[in-house]
Amino acid sequence: MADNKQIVELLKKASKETPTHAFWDTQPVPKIADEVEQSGPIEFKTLDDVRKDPLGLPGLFEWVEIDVNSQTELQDLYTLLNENYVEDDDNMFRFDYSPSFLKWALQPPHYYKEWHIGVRVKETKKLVGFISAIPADVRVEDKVVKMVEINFLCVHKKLREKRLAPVLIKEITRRVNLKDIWQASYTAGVVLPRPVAVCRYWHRSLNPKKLIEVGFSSLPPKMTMSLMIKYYRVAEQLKNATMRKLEKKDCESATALLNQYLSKYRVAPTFTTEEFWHWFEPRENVMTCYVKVDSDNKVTDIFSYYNLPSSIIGNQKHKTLKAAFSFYNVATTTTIKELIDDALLVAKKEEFDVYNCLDIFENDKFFKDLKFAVGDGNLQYYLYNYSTPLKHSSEIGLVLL
Amino acid sequence: MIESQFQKAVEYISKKSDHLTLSNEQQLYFYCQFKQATIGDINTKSPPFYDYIGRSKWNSWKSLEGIDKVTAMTNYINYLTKVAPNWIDTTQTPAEPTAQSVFEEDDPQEQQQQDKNKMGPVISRFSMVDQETIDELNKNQKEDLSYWVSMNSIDKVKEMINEKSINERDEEGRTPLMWSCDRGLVDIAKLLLDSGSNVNSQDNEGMTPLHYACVCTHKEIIQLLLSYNADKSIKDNSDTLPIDLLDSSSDSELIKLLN
Ligand SMILES: CC(C)(COP(=O)(O)OP(=O)(O)OC[C@H]1O[C@@H](n2cnc3c(N)ncnc32)[C@H](O)[C@@H]1OP(=O)(O)O)[C@@H](O)C(=O)NCCC(=O)NCCS
Repeated sequence: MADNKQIVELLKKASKETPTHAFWDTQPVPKIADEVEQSGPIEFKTLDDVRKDPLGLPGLFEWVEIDVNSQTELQDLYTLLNENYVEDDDNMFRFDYSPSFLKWALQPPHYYKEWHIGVRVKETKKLVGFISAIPADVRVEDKVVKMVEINFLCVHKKLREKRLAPVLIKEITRRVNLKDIWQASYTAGVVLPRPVAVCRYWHRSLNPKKLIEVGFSSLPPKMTMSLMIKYYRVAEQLKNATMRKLEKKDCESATALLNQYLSKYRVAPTFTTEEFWHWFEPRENVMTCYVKVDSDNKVTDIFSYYNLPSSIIGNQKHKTLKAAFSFYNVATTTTIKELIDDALLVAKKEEFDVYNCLDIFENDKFFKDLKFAVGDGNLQYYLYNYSTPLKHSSEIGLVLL
Repeated sequence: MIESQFQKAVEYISKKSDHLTLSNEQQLYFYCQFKQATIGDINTKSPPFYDYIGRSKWNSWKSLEGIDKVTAMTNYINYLTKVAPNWIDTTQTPAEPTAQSVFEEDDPQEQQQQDKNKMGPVISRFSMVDQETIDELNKNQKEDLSYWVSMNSIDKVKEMINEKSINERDEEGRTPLMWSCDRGLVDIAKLLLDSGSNVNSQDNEGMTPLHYACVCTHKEIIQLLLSYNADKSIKDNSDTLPIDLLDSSSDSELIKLLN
């Protein structure tokens, strides 16, 4: 992303366009234009301050917990998201998290079922709203903060702009507070009070023909498709020939390697071995993770990405766009560039159409050489009830799904 | 009143009621009729040509120049009636039974707010070609037959075909037919072939129309070219046959055709 000055400008502009936030202005988050100099919680509360009963809903609706281990409830959640979750500007694509992805994303070690909150229509039981939290330890500057990651906030299209989102956010906050946790991290495409970092997606095309056919990317007139296809062909052989899928026996050393690597970023999670295995264990159509080990069988390099397709709205020929999203990568015996080159090769073999990557970590080191192109939308990182000075995207070491 | 019916139609479309999904072409149709009905003749400059989507929106609106607003509204309504015959019924039932005007807020401060919050895009898209290359291409842009082929504009192509233009080469030695094979435009390719385009001409790199169709694995084009007796044994300057350019995952039928 651009330098801090430009980001400050961007935030100023955002605060002019939407000077008041009826909901967010009541929450423990800095104002958009605030200059923050120190890190720490914004408000301190105790369990006594937390409301014991759920927030009220209009009579037609009810709170439910979604049990993602129940096939039908998982299907309800999948349908809600599949039909109503994040779309692009022109409503041509919509994220299509698979049921197995959702199970994985929502059930890391020590998750709580109470934090998978749904809103149903009482009479028909139709699921019309959802929000979730999962526990995570995230270090901000030099303090490890026990917090949650908020994700999958979704309101059915027919119920938009009726202020259901703030109710969902307050209810999840209440339930998280009841477990004595007071901070959260989340990301969004909208600018709200107040980003910790403004990041941008970069894309490496793996199947240019399809990307063009579905309108995900464009081809100028008088530029041939043939040239594009030849230009984006990937290598046929791994640069690191010994890279292989992560196995359980690698966990100990891989966790240590990753935690060590993450320590150089200003906002980054810390993983226990158990959490590491949950997040990185190779799962078909969900997670791909490869490692390289040294002669003592210690992991020295890791690449990983998750599988998040988008449904293509109204295209006759193609129904989904298969996208790999870069997760955590560590290179010590090879360069980050060669490591990601290998990731691209594996992703191509797995028939992904595009490999997406945020400009967090040291990722901008390889964008140019590996033929990434910059995307058209920003992704903001946020912390709830924790203020910290604005960060450059390359100081962020945290990936939210 | 046509205006109020038009309003309802617009509302219906923008809410995407009844899970109405529209193809890109349909969206484009509604877009341009809407613009013509509300604004009138096009009043913006053409977007840069690499902005594929902006450009096709612009072209569609431009094509309606001179049409009056009432006609555009009528077109809009008629087309909606075609794709969603029952739309009018849904707009007449008052409110959705599940819809509720305001959800409870326990914080009175929040009660009065109302500027519509726009969701930013989180699905990010991109152009595969960098700005420099685009500027360079832009400089050399000629609106010749190859250009209109690459824009998939069959009407313009028909208008511009003549004995000279049909086999005219661009700076890279490419003919209009090569462009249609590269883009996978079957109708245009057939039109060019029927109008006397040379099926075996080679560009500066020695590539034939068949080479182009093979790199891009456009199956229908490959079949079309072969039916017009394209020579599959011509090699390009790097000694490559069309068949060598096929994607490794291509189906066996194609491979057989080219062997
Ligand atoms: C995001 C979504 C739940 C918001 O619902 P909505 O009906 O448009 O908005 P509501 O009227 O209920 O509430 C608006 C409030 O929620 C806030 N809000 C909107 N999107 C938000 C987000 N992604 N994260 C946090 N708060 C958000 C708004 O800023 C506004 O508060 P403010 O007045 O203080 O600014 C809904 O648009 C949706 O499901 N979108 C598709 C999925 C999506 O984008 N999810 C978020 C992924 S990051």
